[in-house]
Amino acid sequence: MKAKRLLCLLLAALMLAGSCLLFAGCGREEKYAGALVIGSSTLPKNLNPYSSTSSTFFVDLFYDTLLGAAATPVGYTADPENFRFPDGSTFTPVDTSNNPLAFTDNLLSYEGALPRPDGSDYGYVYFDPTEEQWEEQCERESIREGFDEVGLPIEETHEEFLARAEETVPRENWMEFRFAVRPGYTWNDGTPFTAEDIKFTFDYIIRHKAELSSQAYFLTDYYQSSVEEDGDFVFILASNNYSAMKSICNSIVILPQHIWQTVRKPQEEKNLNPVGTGPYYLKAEDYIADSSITVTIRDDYNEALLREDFAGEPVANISVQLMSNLDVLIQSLQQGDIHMIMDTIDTTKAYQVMNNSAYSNIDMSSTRNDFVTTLLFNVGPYGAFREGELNGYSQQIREAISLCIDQQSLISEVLFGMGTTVGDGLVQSYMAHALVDENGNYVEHHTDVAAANALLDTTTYLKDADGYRGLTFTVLASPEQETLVRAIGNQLAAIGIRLEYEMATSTYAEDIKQYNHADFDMILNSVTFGADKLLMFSARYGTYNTGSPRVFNYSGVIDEELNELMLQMERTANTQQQYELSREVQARIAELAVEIPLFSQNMITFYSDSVFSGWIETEGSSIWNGYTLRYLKVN
Amino acid sequence: MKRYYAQKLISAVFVLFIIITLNFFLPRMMFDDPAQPYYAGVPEDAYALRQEIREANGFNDPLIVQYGAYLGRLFTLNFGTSYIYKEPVFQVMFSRIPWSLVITLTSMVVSVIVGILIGAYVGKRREMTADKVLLGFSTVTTAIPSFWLALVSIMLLAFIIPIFPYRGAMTPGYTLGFHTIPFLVVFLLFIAAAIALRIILRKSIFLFTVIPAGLLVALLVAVPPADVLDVLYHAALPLIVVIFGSCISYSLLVRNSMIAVTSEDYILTARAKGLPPRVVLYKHTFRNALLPLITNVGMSLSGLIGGSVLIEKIFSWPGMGQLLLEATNNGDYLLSQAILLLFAILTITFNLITDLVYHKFDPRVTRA
Repeated sequence: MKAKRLLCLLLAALMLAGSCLLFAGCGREEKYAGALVIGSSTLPKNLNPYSSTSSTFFVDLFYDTLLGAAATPVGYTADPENFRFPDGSTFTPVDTSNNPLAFTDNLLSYEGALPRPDGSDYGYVYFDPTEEQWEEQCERESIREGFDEVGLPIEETHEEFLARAEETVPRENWMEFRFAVRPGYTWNDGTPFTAEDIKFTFDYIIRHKAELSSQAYFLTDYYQSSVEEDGDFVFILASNNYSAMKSICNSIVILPQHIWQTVRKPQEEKNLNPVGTGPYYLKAEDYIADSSITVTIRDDYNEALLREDFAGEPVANISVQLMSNLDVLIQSLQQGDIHMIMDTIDTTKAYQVMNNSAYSNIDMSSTRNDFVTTLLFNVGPYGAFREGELNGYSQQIREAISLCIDQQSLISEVLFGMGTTVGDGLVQSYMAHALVDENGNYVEHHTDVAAANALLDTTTYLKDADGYRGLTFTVLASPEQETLVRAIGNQLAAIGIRLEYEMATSTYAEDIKQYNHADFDMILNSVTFGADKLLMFSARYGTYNTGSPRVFNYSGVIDEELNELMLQMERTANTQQQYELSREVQARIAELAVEIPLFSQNMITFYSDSVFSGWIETEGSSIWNGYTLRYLKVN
Repeated sequence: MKRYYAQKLISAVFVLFIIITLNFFLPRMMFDDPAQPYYAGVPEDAYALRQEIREANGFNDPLIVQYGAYLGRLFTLNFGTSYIYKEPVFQVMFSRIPWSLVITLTSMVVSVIVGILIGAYVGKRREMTADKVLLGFSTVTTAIPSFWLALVSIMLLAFIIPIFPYRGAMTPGYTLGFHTIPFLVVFLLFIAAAIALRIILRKSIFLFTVIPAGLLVALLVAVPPADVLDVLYHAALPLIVVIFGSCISYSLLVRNSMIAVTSEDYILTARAKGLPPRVVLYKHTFRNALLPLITNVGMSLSGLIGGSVLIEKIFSWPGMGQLLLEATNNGDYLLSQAILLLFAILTITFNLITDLVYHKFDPRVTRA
């Protein structure tokens, strides 16, 4: 009986194994063999350049912006031989450490429309709109439709509209820009790229501003455009908003008029066969919803636009395939099924993989990030750190905490070394240890626990028998940040301060704006810094025109002087002037909010160079951006 | 009897109405501004633009008007346009249902059949080796989370021994071919045959067996064999994971039920009457032991469409579970609203059907 059962079990096992092997033969031939395969946990649902659910990665592959832009390659040295572009132009980015608006300043005229150098660097001229030929300013769409400049409804007569228009439209320093279009430049369907396409794009966005609102926002100051007889494109901004011009040039993707003139609902119509000026194109059958998107290099793509020293075969096909789970993605990369992971990897996972010999064939790109993690103190009306609180010793305690922070240890413990130290750019001027050197330059943070203890010993908070001073602070943070809070707590224990982690129940900005919150003393914040990590760029502070704080203004700072400084900075064309103003902005913010920079976490991606090589890392950007992929070649 | 049906139907409609109302108001309570998902990329100070977006999507109307419009749209199956897919919600949802069914329906059918067989076998062998093995297995399967099992199975059967694929429903680059006309012809023929058999032989069983069989045959005719094989090949690993857990659970259910029924007085009576053991087992014990299984399967049927969020995510299977996850993560509340409403309707419907079918198996229910 037992033998019979065993035989049955054996037969069943054999049948199962046989079925499995038979099944294994059911696999189809890979359609994209030889392609660069990128694994991603999400795929875009739409490839319209202006769809909010599209992906900048694909937009980069298919389309070019008005001027084109490029990130700074890691390790860039000002050697024109290494970074000269095929059209003869040399890559000369502005020193980002000195430029608060650096991300819009990499205007690089290597394709598409080129700015005319007449008159100034970017070809703009100033003029006074109150002159007779500019009277039609009062016919601006926003006024005709009954909304004023901040978008509030106007309930007045036509005459009052006109009067208001004269008040609200800047009277001077309107700006005119003139661009020449590169001859012989074509869309991927062979149609020539002309200035008419650029004018069509601007007008199209204005016409569909409700649906293309995020792009229409860039054109808030756009007045009109025209195509000149010589084929140049001219557009006018009804303000002296220099940064708006940069946003327009870098963010608005030019549309092919011959395709888009029939598109009535740009957000709803699915564009599965995008026509662009980029290096790749998509065949309709290569878009498989929720599975894969595969693009093919253009046969007629201008070879001169590829890198000069490019050798070997370019990547003919790039296939982005959906794999929703990170562990599966990593395993797949290790097996060689994919060549790159499109998702950003957290430092813990990166550490585990990089220290496991089984994954030795996986490479890691770890590039510096623009964001700096900071410890933001609650100085609101209910906060412990507001002036006069903590028995009048708020300033001493803030400074002692700052002195006690050891950034390098935090980077080692929490980020496994995958981070960068930063400067004390946001601390108050009374913190003598921080801020600037003898030349007035911002300097990196330094740690001095003894000085911190000495400072606290001058207060009433003296250490008791167990080494603590009776100071306990609560840090509200997400569960992912708990390790960081604990690590900071361990450091603060050296000066007798206890730190308690409290889990944030919401990440929604309104809920954690410390200004209105009584239940915690600190939060972890993220602030944009410059490339040298010493100077903060102001994007997250200040208020809107209506007086309400900006979305990420967690301190709820509302300050007229700060707003004025920020406006000046954003509207100044001169880079050096922007830098000086940025320093003033930073100093002003430091007086209004208390924030201690901790470190900058690197941006991490995994890839493998077993089949493709030529990967280029770029500062502040992941390795999988559409631009750097143009440099890859088959081994 | 009719009163029983009417009561069940009225309560189902009432629950559905409550759910529809909640479904409308909950997203509006979640956001300060329910139009928030539509503002993607529009800064806070762009009031005019935001105003236009609100107006275009009807958010400026009074709440009661919006509610009325919502009910009106429901009756025409107009759930709006998905924010992330830029397609009608109805279309997006129904393109995902078949993929979920491939996993859930297949795994349920296999699990129930295997579960009944194992459960019945073990149920009459209490305290014997088979029983101990089943109990041991059930402890293990209960303790192992399905996502862990999925990851281990991928590691074992896709990477270490590369037998099965581990992502997607088809090989990248291929789409499912579907011939609509042959599908309709074959399916309609089977429906006609089922109705004819019902009328001629007066047996309802033909409706419940011939029509599903017809659907299966029609699908096999309509989809090219290479595509069917490709889908089954890709579904193998997720199916193994789902079936592994659920068939043990069904076996345990049948086993426990068999043991409970065996100790009932009517079984003793049947034995005392001198009925053969086979008749006692299959006609009295087994039939009564199936009652909890019917309830359980009935409750699980509503989950068929919902798919398995974790399994679909790990295997990148394009089913409803993944869709709901995407809709929630991206704030596409028109889509998540519609999916949740569909789940609610299915749950209510299948509960109703279970109640009615249960009555067929256990007439005591209506008498009570």
